[in-house]
Amino acid sequence: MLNRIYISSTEVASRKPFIYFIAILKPVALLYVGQTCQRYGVLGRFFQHLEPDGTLRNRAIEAGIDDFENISIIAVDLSKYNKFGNAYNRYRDALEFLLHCEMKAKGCKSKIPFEVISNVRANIFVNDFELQKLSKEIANEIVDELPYNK
Amino acid sequence: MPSYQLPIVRVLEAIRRIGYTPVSAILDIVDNSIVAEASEIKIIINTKPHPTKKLRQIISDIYICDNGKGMSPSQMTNALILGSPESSYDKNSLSKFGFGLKSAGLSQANRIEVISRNNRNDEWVKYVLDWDSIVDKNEYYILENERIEEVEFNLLKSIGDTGTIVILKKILQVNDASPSKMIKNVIEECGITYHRIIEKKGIIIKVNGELVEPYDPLFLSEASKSVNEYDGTTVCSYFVEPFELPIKTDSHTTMTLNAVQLPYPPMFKNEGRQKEINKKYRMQLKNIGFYIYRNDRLIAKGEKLGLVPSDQDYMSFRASIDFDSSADNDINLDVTKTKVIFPDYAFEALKERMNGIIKNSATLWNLIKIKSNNPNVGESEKTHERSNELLKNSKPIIVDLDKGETKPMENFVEQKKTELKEIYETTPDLIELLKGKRKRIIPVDDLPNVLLWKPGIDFDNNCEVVVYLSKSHPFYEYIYKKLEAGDDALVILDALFLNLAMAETSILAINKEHQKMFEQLRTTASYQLSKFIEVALENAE
Repeated sequence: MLNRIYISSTEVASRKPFIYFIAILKPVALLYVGQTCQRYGVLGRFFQHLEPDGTLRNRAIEAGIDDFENISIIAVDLSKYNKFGNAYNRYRDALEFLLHCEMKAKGCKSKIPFEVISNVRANIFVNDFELQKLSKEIANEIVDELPYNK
Repeated sequence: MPSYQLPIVRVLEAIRRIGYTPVSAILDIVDNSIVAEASEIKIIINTKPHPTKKLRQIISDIYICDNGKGMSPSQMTNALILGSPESSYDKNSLSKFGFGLKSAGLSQANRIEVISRNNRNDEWVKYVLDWDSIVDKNEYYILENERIEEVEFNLLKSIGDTGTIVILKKILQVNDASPSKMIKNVIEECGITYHRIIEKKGIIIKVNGELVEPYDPLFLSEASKSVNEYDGTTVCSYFVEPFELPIKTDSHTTMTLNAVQLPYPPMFKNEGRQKEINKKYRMQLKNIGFYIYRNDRLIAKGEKLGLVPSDQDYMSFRASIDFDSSADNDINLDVTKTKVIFPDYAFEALKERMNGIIKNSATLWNLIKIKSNNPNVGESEKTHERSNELLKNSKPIIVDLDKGETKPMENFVEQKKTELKEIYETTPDLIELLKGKRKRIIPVDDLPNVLLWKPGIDFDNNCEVVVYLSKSHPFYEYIYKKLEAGDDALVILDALFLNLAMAETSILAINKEHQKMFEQLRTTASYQLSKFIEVALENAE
């Protein structure tokens, strides 16, 4: 069987504010939640994660995983919401934190249970009710797209 | 393989000393009434004169009566056997180990009597567990079909068709509980422990005739506002809706969190209501922390969990953790059901979600404390008023080190108006902010890329240089919001940012090629400062 790679959107390398979910299925089910608004979009960030010293690799090693296979990434384009733009943005940091926490409970309820290994930090905006509602909305929608429930 | 007979008296001695207080023992028996779907539960604590101290009363016996489903004789035997079978408990039962009645009862009394029936056509039956008889015979056994006394028949009449009465007799005076204090505590503890069950199911609990009122320690019915609107006078919530966290991924179990910020009582001092507020919200160090519920029953209160300091600054912080009995095997819960230890992954998730909230709670408490002592502290119209007055005549200059002179730049900035307009574009909302106000310090809700400050030019007002400050930058949150309006330190900070802005515009008026460099300088410094405050400083705390 051929090794295939799927990229389904032309926006994958656009410089836009994104929240992304990297799902690892094997050898153990792990999820990494991140955010970016960098030059090469989600694709650029994904590339950095997969580099030998990338954050994802480091977090996976901390979780006891040296190597992984069956990895996928799903990103949510946040550009329709005004407050998430710019390279550095504390609202986006807050949304990343909230989604990281939301996904932990989802990891308990999915067909294949998964653990969340991202590295996040809360700031004052995590108390924003609108942001909390948005994170719930994204979490509820995205969880069915992850490979753990298919 | 040899078998050994259990030293039953010693085993029972150990079981009755597993840590029940008089109140927690009574509540453990009340749990059974709730499991039996009682709609009314009566607790009667009787007293008699102290044998030696004339003026003192002691507890003579305790009755817990309910009109629940009741028990058949075989169920009564099960209830009095040590370690009742697991199958006797429903999924959402408040029971867990099958030790409750015996261990709770024997922790307080040497005799447990149970009268019950589960069918109106049956006779009431009384079974008894008597410590003295067990010790005499050195054997665990239950006295069956004992005689029901008249006083008990009178109580049964008020119960209805089915139900149960548990009577604790031969009360151990080792706890030496003061009857009046104990009655007060039972009322208070029932109110808080079963507040959800009373509110949701409408169960009536009476203690010596007094109706128990539900008491929600988080006051969630008052918490309609977000904590971002906290002003110290109302209960505010940290979550728009309860937040779910994992307990154990493999077993698919989760817990639900809620968190609130209670009012700051000194805010009510001027109205003469500080004491009333303190009493209403029970503002005591022991009540700070987490309230843990299992199947809607409070099992631990004011738990610090190693996350909340027992310190005045955290007085307004309260949170709840809810789980149901499906998580019993994942959570380490003791027989008295009052101590909880979470698995590592759950605890780490809890810590991660709550740490910021707990810190925020102390910050808010202190902020309101400063504000209540000095209303001029914090963000208001007046914050930068004095700075604007004192800085209104500040003009941009250039210090030329080579020539050893300073050069006024005011006119030069005006001459370069067109070029500078391209750099410092003024958006319509900023034009509105500047309109006719001659402000030099302009606080704005947010600036892009976590910028703390950004120069601007009031093109309609002699091209005066202004500086925008981001109210959402941690520097503004940590420093400006804690300073009194017009304080020297605040004015000096304002002067610093305005001077940085004037220097930047002056240099760019001469050579606009440096534009990128200045943008980078502001972005980098603001970003670093933000990380320093939010990461390094907080970790150091």
